[in-house]
Amino acid sequence: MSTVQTLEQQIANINMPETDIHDKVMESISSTQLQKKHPVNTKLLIAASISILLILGSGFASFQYIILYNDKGEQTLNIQPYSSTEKSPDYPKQYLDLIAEGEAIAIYDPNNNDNKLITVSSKAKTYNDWNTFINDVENSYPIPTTLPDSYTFISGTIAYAAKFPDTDKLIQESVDNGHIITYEKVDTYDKIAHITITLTKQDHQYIVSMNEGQTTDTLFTDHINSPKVQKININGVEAFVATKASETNVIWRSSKEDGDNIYSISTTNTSSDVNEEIKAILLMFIQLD
Amino acid sequence: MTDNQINQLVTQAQQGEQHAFSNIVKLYQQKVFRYCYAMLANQQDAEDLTQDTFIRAYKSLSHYSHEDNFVGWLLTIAHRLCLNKLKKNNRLYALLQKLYLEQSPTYTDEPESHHNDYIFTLLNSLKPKHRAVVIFKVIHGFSYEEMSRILQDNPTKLRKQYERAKKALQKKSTTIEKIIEGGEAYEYRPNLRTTNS
Repeated sequence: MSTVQTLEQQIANINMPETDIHDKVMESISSTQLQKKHPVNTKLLIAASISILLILGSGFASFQYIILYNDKGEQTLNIQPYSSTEKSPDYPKQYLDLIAEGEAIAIYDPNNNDNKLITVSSKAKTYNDWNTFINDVENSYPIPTTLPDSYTFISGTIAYAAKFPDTDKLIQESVDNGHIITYEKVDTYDKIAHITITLTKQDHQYIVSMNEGQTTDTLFTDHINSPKVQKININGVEAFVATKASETNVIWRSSKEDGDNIYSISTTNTSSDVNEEIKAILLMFIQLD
Repeated sequence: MTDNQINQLVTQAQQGEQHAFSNIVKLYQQKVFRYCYAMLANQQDAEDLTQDTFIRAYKSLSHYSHEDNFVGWLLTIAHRLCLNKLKKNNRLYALLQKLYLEQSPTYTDEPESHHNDYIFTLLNSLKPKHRAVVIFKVIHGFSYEEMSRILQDNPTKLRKQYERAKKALQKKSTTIEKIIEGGEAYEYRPNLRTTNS
């Protein structure tokens, strides 16, 4: 017969399995840029080679701040202007030539970089065949098995999440060598960090970009400075729409039920029906058969 | 590792140094997992919530004050996630209860598995908040003062909850033993998953 003392001992002696979730946690943290509210000395910018998501465009913005909400009044995304004192992710493109597709590189440029921003850029794999592309994406992102006839698939890219670089070493090497730009190849995880899909419909091109939303609260963009900025509601969640003379850009985060992914669509379509077209494209990626 | 060293790691992590947070994960992942596993009685769910705990902790590091105990702060996050998970599981359990009650308990012949199933059956018979008190007290060895900071309740109330939980466990244990001796089926609450159930 058990006594209370025995029961306590039995509970204390429960067979406890060992766990190791360290790599999964760090992978999740590293795969997307985290913006912290507290001051930081060293920031890390994770960007895919064709990223139009983290920093959109290359101009400099005046201060504005836009928050997107869902129908429940919950905040889904902060959109902030890109600071001119920080580096654009466009500049590492020349360094991407140093690595193969599927690899990643970390670059530290000390010029105009008060925040000691280090850019980690993954070189995406490019696909021209839809079936091969969706086969490699597997279940990482929700994409339909076939596209409606009205859309033509042009190309897709897959970038893998980069591991965390040795930031101290990169900065120290730069200092030791007279503040030069320093870089190093960074290992990648098997996890997909970012995909893009380029489609055409009639005369317009659409580049759809997807990132996981789990660890991202804030995105930086200079489209906040576009001549026309508005919010539209897609499936109960607000989207940010910026229209310029020759292009329209949209940022939207799907709900948790729909995968909690951050979508960015850039299109040459600036016509009056562009919002409806973009809604249709986004729904195509979340309302799968 | 001393409190000062832990505080130093946390400060570095707050300043954006991911290697410091990496060390924190290595240091505390088993402790958080032990709590989640005992609460949820399911290894996969416990691992998922342990992972979520650290990701949420990372995102909320700026809110952590060094006056608090860091492990306690982590366990507070884990505790809330576990309660949410149990709420979801309860809704699922209500739907599937009839189906599962028709089944006999499926103990394996392995003594360790049998022991865990038995303990989980006992722990699952407690309300989640009482279960948390028992786990913190018995498995983690926390004082009522330490628990009060995690569970945000006063120590006297937690002491009473623990005493009540002990009595409930004793009663449940006796019931189970009697039924096993009689060879009858008893209500066994399976480890429910929110997916693949």
